[in-house]
Amino acid sequence: MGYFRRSWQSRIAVLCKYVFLILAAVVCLYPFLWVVLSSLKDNSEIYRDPFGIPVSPMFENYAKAWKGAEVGRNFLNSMTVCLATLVILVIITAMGSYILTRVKKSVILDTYFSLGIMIPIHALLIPSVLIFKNLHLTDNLLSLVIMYAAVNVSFSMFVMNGFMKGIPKELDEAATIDGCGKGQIFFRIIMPVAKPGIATVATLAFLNCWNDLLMGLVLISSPQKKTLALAISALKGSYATQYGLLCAGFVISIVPVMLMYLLFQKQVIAGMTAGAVKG
Amino acid sequence: MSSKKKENLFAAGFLLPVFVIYTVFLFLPLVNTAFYSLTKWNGVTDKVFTGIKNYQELFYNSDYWITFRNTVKLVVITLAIQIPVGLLLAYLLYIKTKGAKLFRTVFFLPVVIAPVAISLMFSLFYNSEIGVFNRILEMMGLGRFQTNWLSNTKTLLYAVMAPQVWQYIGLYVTIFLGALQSVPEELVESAEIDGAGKIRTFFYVVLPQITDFTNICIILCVTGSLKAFEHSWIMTGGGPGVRSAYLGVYMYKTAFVNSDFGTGSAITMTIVALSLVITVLLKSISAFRKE
Repeated sequence: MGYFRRSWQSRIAVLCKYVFLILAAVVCLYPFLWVVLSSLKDNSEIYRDPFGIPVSPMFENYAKAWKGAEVGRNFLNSMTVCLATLVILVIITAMGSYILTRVKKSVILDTYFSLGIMIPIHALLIPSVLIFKNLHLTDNLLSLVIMYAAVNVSFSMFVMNGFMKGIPKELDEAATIDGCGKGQIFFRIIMPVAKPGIATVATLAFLNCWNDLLMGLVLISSPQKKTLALAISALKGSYATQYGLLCAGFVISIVPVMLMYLLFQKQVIAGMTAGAVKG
Repeated sequence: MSSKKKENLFAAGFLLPVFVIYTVFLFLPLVNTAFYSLTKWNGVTDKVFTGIKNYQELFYNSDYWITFRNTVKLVVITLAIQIPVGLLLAYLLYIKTKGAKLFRTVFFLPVVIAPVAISLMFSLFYNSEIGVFNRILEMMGLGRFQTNWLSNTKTLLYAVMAPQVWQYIGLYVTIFLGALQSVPEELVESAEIDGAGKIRTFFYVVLPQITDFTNICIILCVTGSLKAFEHSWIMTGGGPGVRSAYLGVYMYKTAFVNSDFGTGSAITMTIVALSLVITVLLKSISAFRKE
């Protein structure tokens, strides 16, 4: 198309398209930019000039949020919980998916594991409180790890199955002839080949854990055990009038997901739309 | 031990961890919730079996219906805004646009951020002291529309919905973009050669090709709205009363603020039932159409 001379109407249409897209991009990005800029201001500057660039950037807001508001500790809690969850989740779902796609196929179990996709987390809140009370894990980060692993099983099995099915059967056969047992095949051959699937599961599980509020609200009560999402929701109350600090806490809380998103964009998008593409 | 038996044992051992975690912490809790919904229980004293009394009470509970209506409004608004805007943006990226990937990256960005953080951000924007929104309105010469967004009863609910609608548009852009890229190019080209304009080609050729994806987006909109919690809880706590609460928030308040686990479970079951029914309904409609 580009080789033909365009009429002025079509040029205007193209111009409109880009103007519209850029406008939409600004609407997506500007709110974040505003918070980042405000995190480097004090209250009076935010009132006086809410849209300007900070005159003398107050980086101490970040130090204050990290130490004073103990965002640092909550950050570590969230990190620990998320990493533990994704390690457990990846191992158990890879093992399960390996069996269901390559060793013993079972339609019943496939269906059983897929049911969870339709269950909202709300349905588990009340019983989970009781379960962890009985297990003496009240107000314990381990309870979060277990619940996050459980709620992510369905989606992860689905993604893993997709990748495991795509691995050629000949690989297993060749390895069996060479004298490998099923376990060895799994760890030495299947796991390395299924890396893209594992990456997708891990990224999405991380995001889900990092962003969850509800489970945390219900299972965790003491301040020093709170995850970042809980801490951020509490910031609004305790630092309600120190806007710069509030913004700094906000920025700290979103940096890991932003990084994750920029580094693993392909996996993030594949994961978040996996349920959709399934149809 | 025979090799067959050995293989079975191995399979069982490998399946066990995921089966146990899934069954004990997801499936059984769901069954429990269904059971709790038939009891009167405050979480401390013994459960008293009351049959469907909780559901009957909900039926005459005005707070339940207020939050129900709020949830339906959210469904309608997300459907009316997210899907058309998502589709439009996806289409604009699809038609030979420079930097389409970059735009997609930007549009998807809010989707990955915690709803808690987004809600906190928007409560700053609505804040009457800083008043970012009000100041923007003033700059645009629309100063007369300034208001206290989260306390004005006319704007309250929509102010709570706005961040959620804004945040997830990128998800639909991405799904629709994938859908559009799966439409065979020859189909579009031949329609255009036949003299159908871009707009007619879009509605008569492209859109019918992606109905499956549109259906999925509708399901995501509906189930997402039924699960809505954070935006309302963080910005207003669902208040005043339950004016800005969704079913999810009302359930949380009933169970964990008022310690009425029986009724809380009943509300949850209505959420689960609604999302199941709507999902199955929409999926069978799309399956029916295919035949």
